[in-house]
Amino acid sequence: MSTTENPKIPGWTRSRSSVTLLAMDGGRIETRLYASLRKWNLTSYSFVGTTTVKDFLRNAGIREEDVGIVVINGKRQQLDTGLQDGDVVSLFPLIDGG
Amino acid sequence: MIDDAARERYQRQLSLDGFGAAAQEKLAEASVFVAGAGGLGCSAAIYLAAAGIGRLRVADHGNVELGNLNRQILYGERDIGGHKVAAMARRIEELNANVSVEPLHVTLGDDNLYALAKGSSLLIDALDNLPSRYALNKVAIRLGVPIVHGAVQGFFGQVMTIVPNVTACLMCLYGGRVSSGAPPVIGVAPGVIGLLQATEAIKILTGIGRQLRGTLLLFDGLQTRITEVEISRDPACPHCGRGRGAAPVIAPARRPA
Repeated sequence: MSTTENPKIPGWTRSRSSVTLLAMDGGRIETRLYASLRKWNLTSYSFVGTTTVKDFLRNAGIREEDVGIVVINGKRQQLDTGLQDGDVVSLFPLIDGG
Repeated sequence: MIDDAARERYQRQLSLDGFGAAAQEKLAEASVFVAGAGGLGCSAAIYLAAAGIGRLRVADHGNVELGNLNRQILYGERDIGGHKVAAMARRIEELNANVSVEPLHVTLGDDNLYALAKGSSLLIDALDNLPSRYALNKVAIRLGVPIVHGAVQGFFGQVMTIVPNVTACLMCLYGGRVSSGAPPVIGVAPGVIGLLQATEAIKILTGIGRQLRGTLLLFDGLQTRITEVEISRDPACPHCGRGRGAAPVIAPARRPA
C-alpha cells in the first residue's frame, strides 16, 4: 500500500483507484468474539463481493441463535447489516447466567 | 435524620462530593427488590446493605448447594440444604442491623412478581434465566420502576439500567429469545457484575453520577476489556412499544455444544 500511495511512482492515481474499487467489492474485517463465542477463535475474516453479518456467520460456522448482540465499529447492528472493509465486528452471545 | 451511629458507620461515604446526609437518607428510605439470590444477588445485596439501603426484599426459590459456593459468596458450608434467602438475610443482618431484610423463598413468575415487586424503588435483575427476566421486565414497566439488569457467563458479564418507557428494555435488547442450560461461571464474574449493579442502584437512588441508562456495559474478564453499546428502544417492542398486549414471542435458542 505504501508504494502505491507514493505520488512519484508513475501510474499512482490509477493504482489508487483500482485499490478503492477492490475495497468496495470485498474486504477484510476484524472480528472480536466474546464469552462462549470465543471458541471459534477468529480474529479476522476476508470476503469477496458484498456480504452481511449473516453471511459471515454462515461461512464461519457460527449459528445465528448463538449470537445475542452484533456490534460493528461500536454501534449495535443486526444480522442483515452489510460489512465494509476495515469494520470491527464484535459478537456477544445471549447470556443469562446469574 | 441521621443519628450518631449512622454518621459514624457511613462517615467515609457521607464525606463524598455530592453525597452527604441527603443522599444517605435517600438510601435509608429506599426499598430494593433483589430478584435472585445467586452469584449476582449475593454480590449486589451485601454491598447495598453495607451502603445503608433501608429495605431489601430478596426472592429466590433455591436451597444452598455445594456447587453454589464458588460464586454465591454469602453462603458457607454450614448453609448447605437451607434456603438461600434465609442465609442471605442472616448475613445482611450480621453486617447491618439497620437494614430491614425480607427473605422470600418463592419461585418468581408472572403470577407473583407484580405483588412482590410493588412498593419497591428499584429492581435488581439477578435472575438466572431469560423467561423470568422477561417477566420482571414486564412488571417493571407496569410499575414504572427502574431495573438494573445483570447477567454472566464464564469470565464475561453485562449490566444495563432500564428506565421503563424511557430507555430500551430487556425485550428491546433480546426480542424474547431464550437460551437453555446453566452456563459455566467463575465466581469473580457475578462478583464484578453484581457490584456494578449495586453501583448503578446507589446512583439511581441518590441521583448522583452517570448511569448506564440504555447503555449495555459488557465486561470481558478474560481480556480485561469493557465495551459499552447504546441499545435503542424497539418501537414494536411487545413490552414497552406498540406491541404491548400482543401474544408473547418467546423463541427457543440453544447454546453451542
